[in-house]
Amino acid sequence: MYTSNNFAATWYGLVGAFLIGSCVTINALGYEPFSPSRQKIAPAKMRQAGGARAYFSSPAYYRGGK
Amino acid sequence: MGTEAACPGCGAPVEFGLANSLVVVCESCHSLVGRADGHFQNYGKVAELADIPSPLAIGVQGTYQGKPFVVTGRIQIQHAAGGTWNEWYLAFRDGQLWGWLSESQGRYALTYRKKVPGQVELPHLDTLDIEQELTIPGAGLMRVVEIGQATTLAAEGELPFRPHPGEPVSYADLSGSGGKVATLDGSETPPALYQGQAVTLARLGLSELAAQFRQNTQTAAVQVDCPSCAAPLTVQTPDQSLRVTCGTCDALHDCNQGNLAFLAKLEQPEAKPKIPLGTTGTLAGRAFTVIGFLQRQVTWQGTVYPWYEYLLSCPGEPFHWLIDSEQHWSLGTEIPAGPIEYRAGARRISATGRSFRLYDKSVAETVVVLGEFYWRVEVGEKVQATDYIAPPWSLSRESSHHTDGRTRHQLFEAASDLSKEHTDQPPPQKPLHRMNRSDLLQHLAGSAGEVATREVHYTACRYIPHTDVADAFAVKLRHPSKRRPGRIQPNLNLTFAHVLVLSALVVAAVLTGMITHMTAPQRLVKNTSIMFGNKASQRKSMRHNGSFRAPDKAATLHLESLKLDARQNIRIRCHAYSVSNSWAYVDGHLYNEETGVVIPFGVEMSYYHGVSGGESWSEGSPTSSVFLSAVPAGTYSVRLSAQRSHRQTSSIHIQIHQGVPRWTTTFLLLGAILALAAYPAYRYFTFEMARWSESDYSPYSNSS
Repeated sequence: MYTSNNFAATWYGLVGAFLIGSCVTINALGYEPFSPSRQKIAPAKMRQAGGARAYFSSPAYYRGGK
Repeated sequence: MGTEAACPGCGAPVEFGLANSLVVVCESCHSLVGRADGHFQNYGKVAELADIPSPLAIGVQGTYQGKPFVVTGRIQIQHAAGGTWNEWYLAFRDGQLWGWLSESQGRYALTYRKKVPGQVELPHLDTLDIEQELTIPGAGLMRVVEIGQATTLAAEGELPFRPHPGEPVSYADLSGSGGKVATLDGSETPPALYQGQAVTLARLGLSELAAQFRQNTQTAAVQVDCPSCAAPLTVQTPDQSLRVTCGTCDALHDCNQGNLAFLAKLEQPEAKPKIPLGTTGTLAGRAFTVIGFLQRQVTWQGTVYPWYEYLLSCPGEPFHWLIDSEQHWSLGTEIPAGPIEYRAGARRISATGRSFRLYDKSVAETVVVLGEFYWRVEVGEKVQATDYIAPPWSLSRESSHHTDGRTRHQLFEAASDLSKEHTDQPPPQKPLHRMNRSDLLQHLAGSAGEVATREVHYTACRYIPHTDVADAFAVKLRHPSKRRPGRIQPNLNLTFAHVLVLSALVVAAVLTGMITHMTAPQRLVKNTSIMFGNKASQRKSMRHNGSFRAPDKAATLHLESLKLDARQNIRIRCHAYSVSNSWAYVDGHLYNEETGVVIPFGVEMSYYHGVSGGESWSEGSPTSSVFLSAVPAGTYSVRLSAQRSHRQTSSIHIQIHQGVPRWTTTFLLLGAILALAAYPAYRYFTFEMARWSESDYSPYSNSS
């Protein structure tokens, strides 16, 4: 019927429900949208540099050998 | 027991059933038999009743507002414009109280004669004008909706007054709020007042009668030959139609109970109705027959804007109009003028519980006439039309006293010329130069031997999708243009359902944010400081509180054995003490030596302030935080490297929390929902601007 547009309203409802669900999931996972990205450094590399303390202070780390 | 007598006209027995009735119509010879001073008199004859189908009849009993009544008589009255209506007489309390029930096109109004208080003087009908407001005793403010003349043609039964057949009587119909109606009867001076209410048969306790009538009434169409070309014609409503056209030879005929008389050959362009005349269909729950077709138009700055109107009949219902304007369809019928709060020049009026906005004012001209009509339609007929809209509804006001479109000055000149040409005629009641436009129209009409009927009509229409019309009448119809919305086409881009859903989403988002906030397991993981200073103070600090104290501008701190839980965000909050017009910065790494997971981060604290132009200002803050996404559960270390721009920054306080509630995601969610709403809102306003682009009264234009 022309006095309502339930299809479009339902569509908006579904998109909105998806957004709210995403928000709840993000909160539940502890995800931070603007968090610095996580990196992976081989533990062997840290050990080779004399431990993590030494590794993060070493020029190798700051040269990009991450 | 009534009074029996012999008809003075034919000797047949007549009976006065009620003590207060004055006249009985003889069933044998149609004489009006009156009783006065104990004598029975013959007041003359009335014509035979026209066959106007009605659910009412003499002897029908009903109840109005708890009072029982019986229908005792009726007269048939002819409007000056040609239409005929029934007026039934209802006797309450054995005729001690009489009610007048008018019946026209399935509409009913019950009025009673009212005594006017001595101090109140009702105006003479000559002084009235259409839309004039009058205060009617007992009814309040009412508006004049029609001024005209009517003639009694026929009668039957027992009547409370003596009719004068064939004598035209002036009247003015008034309409008020809440269905109030009144008539000023000009047969007396000052005019007699009849005041009452618009009613339905249901309110008169006659629902069953009405339903039975609808069920039993079949199309009383008659087949006749065109008097002009002998082509066969079908007259669908012979009892109500006054004009019939012939589709073969374009002849216009007068119609009297289905009997046609040639009037004129119509000079009109060829037109082919999209819905053929005679087509039947069910629309809005009513079984309609298409009986007439009009092409009407307005001309604006040389451009012609046409539209098409189909006249629909339905037994026991008022006539309806199906209007086709640029493939946009609407269905409507006339509504009483009384409840409409009309003010000349007002941009808004209220009616039927809605507020309508002025859309257009124009002179509408009829250019094509096909089929049959309940008024004396003419090609070239012009009315002053004012259209108001409240989609999906429209309200059209048509006033017929502006028919010829002449100004008062033009009418004055025409009346002056007429006086010069016909010096033998008696002078008008008041000088021409003192007459208003309405008086002049009346005077000119009277001089031409016509009766000037001044009326205002309101028609309320509702938008109908073209598919509904096509389905109802089994015709193929074109889609309306998507670029040019109809003037009352519903704007579906932002409906109540949209607003409801979007509002629910906003509420749900806020609630989600609040619940998340309240249930967050905020936990302090580490609370420490980096203190800038010399080596002596470093040793002292280590001895007393375990805090590391670095010399000069830079310092590094390692925090180890931090137990972090999974699925909880991490906040590193830094507060730089004594930072003033300077900055401090912490460069850090959160890492797990065993898994190799590393998250680098930086926290900047800067605080600047001063006075400029007599006003103080500040920028930044000594406190700043960074949020990190959750990491797999385990033992982590943090390496922090602090810097400062000035030595006055003595230390940086560090707090590491987990499971910190955040409004950021809620705000992002609300932003996304608003973005969802922005699109339909944009479409809505685009649609409305397109709707009003054809109007001089657009709310989206500054020029109107």
